[in-house]
Amino acid sequence: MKQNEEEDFLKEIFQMEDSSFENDEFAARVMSQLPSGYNPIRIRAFIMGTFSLMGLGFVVPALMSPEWYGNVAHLIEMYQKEVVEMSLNIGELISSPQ
Amino acid sequence: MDQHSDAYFISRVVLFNDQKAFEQLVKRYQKDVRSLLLRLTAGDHHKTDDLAQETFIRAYTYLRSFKAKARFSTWLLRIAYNIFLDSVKKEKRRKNTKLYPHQKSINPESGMDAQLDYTELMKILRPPERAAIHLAYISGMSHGDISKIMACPVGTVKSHISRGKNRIRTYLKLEL
Repeated sequence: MKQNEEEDFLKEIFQMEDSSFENDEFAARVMSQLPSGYNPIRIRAFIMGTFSLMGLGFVVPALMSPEWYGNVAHLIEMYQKEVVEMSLNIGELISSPQ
Repeated sequence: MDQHSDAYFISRVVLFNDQKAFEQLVKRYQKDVRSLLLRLTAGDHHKTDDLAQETFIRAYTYLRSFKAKARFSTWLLRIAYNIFLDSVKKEKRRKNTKLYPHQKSINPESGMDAQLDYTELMKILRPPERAAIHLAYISGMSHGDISKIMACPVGTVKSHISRGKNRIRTYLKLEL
């Protein structure tokens, strides 16, 4: 059997009924079981402090605004790589024992 | 909202405990996770959804330990694979049976003449073989990515694929 025929054959064998895996029911089921989280106000203070320490002082006014939540979402979009790395570190710091 | 990158949603979950953002990740990757688990459980839809739910809850709980060294999907599938292996170990302890209870022995009488039952065919493979073949041929992943998910060397991934194909070949009496 040629390689592409072999691949097609294995795909056919491994093709199972999973079209229903796109629905929203499963997501709703998972969401109903999620554990409760931590206090976002405390996190906000950590973010502001960390951004300042990183020299990204210009971020602080955005965080002070009443729409800080939306502003941070935009900042995350702009500085994805850096922010993800930093936020993961902050998350680890916050969730670790005092 | 669902057009954003994984990094965007992960940040929102980690920073703000934004469950809506996590829901987007669940919707985005539920098919990958459930497809893998469906093969690993040899077509058991009920068990698949239980294990998939456990996978996402564990991912949510430990998202702060995700270091973004691998793609989020790779990290998630690795959790799913580990949860499946844990479930097999639990089952083994409970029943005191062999490690892969779903694995069937090859019946030399079955083959091309018999009506092909894909679920039965899946059961002749060991779970690591099911996972490796599924990830390689259905998900189209590289051997490198599969080795990260299965936490084994690339050579072992190739061996799982090769052994799995041999079992199918023997079962179907086909030249794969």
